[in-house]
Amino acid sequence: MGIQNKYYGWRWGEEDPIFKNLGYIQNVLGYIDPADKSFTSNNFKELFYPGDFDLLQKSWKKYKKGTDHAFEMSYRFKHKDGSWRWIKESGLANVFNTSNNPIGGIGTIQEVTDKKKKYTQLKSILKNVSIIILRLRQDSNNQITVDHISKEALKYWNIPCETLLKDEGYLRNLAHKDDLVGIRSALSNSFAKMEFFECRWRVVSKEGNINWCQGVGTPLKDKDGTCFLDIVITDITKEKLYTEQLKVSEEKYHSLFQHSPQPSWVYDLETLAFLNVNSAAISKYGYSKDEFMGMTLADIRPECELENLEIQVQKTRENYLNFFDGYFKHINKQGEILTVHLYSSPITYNGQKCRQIIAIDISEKMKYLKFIENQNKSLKRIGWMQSHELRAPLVRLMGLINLLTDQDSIGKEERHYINTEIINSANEMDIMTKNIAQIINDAQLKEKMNDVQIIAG
Amino acid sequence: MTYRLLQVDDDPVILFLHNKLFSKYTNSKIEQFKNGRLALDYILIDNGPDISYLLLLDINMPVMNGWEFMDEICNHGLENSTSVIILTSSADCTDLDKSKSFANIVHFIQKPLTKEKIEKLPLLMEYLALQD
Repeated sequence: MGIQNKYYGWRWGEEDPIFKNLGYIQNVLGYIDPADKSFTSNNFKELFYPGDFDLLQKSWKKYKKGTDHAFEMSYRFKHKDGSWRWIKESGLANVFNTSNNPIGGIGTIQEVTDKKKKYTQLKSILKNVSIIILRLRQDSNNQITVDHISKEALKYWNIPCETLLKDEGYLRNLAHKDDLVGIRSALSNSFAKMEFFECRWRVVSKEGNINWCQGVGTPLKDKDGTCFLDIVITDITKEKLYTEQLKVSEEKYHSLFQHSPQPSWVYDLETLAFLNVNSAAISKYGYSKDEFMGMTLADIRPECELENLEIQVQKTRENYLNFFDGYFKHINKQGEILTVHLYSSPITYNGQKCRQIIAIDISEKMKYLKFIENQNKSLKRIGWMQSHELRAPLVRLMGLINLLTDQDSIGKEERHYINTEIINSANEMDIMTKNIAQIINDAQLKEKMNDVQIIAG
Repeated sequence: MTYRLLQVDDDPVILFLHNKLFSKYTNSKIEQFKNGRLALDYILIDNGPDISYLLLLDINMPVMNGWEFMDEICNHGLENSTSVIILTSSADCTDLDKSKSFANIVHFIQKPLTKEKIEKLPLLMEYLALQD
């Protein structure tokens, strides 16, 4: 608050050194005007925050009786404006008698209101987040102990922390027993090499729930030569869960992709290079996986299809999220042309915008289709011939035979004509039926040839 | 009013058979045409306000088949003065369906024409009677 630290000394037999600093406290609390007599050595105790004066007295007496040569304590006063101000006193014994007992010391007094405010804010923040801040210190015997832990966050984790700071086996409270070896090893390594510490382990809550956490930090050397490591511990349970789910999903996808009976691949939309191919594609196209990895889409297209490929790829680049399917001609390593029904969908592969393809070879299906189409054509032709061509001589025959039953109306010449036409019509029918038989024979022959081709293929 | 019965068929044997059948009902010779074109040309010259025609029309014929002939009749606005009996050897049901699209087709008969079939067609019987 603009008032500098004050240094002072005291003798062991003297009263509480706070009484040496009344002028400093008077300034901190806003009683600046020399004419202001409202701040006196008698009433300043009333300005203490309730309980803080007694606490200070107790601490000081305890310090004087003890063997610890350093002290530090903070207390609060009411400012003239009504707000509370924090003051910190710290000191160190520097004069000793022949028995090596302290008889004099030096110290500082300073206002730490701002620091305290910030610390309180930090504590409040830490209360609402799951981050644990843990300071570990390694002494000269390489023993690691807990210097500090942000207890607020421990509530979030619900781990037994009451004895954490005293307990040398603090790690047992912070980690699953199966992970202790890993953490100890990472810690010793970090302290030994003064390298960045990073470790993931499980934390077991009081209820026995397991959470995953990650601790990171960099070891530093303190003024006294010891090393300390501030570790920031964060809850990564969800991340771990998602990562696991993602891993399972990726494995599932990979398995579906690899074991799909349909040829499938992933290609880079910019370079058209193959990035992954499944075993069905390797088997169908005859290239090894390594060969595929050095190829682009153009290598499995016949030359006449390259222009179409460029047009299609351009369309896909313009609308990356587009799903489409279509019929294309491909060529395998043996130079055979395949007719494929191709399904294309967007996929992010190793962070790149890619496309996944499923290519179903319909060459055999097309052969069957063509065969059935031809058969249908033959059937239609036979149907038409029976309906039109074969029936013409037949109806003629029927009419002529009908006429023969009416003997009275037929003259000699007409009888001759009728006989001739009966023979002509019968011959015509004979030719027609032979033609129909030929069409059926041709269709059967084609079917046999197709069967042979399919078996050979 | 004049009623003319016309046969349109390219098969001479069929025409011979029809003549033999019709001779039982009329002494007049029924006009015959070998294709639709010839029949159409005849009607275009012959037709008048007092003339009605009944045609025995085959479908499959060279030059102009039965359906082309029907279209021409419509094109010349002769539907009202012509009635048509399709007489065909075809067993194709698409032909029967097509015949239903022409209002002046009154019957669809499969060959061969017989005495029994003729006598079941009153309109044909009327025309035969009026040919004398």
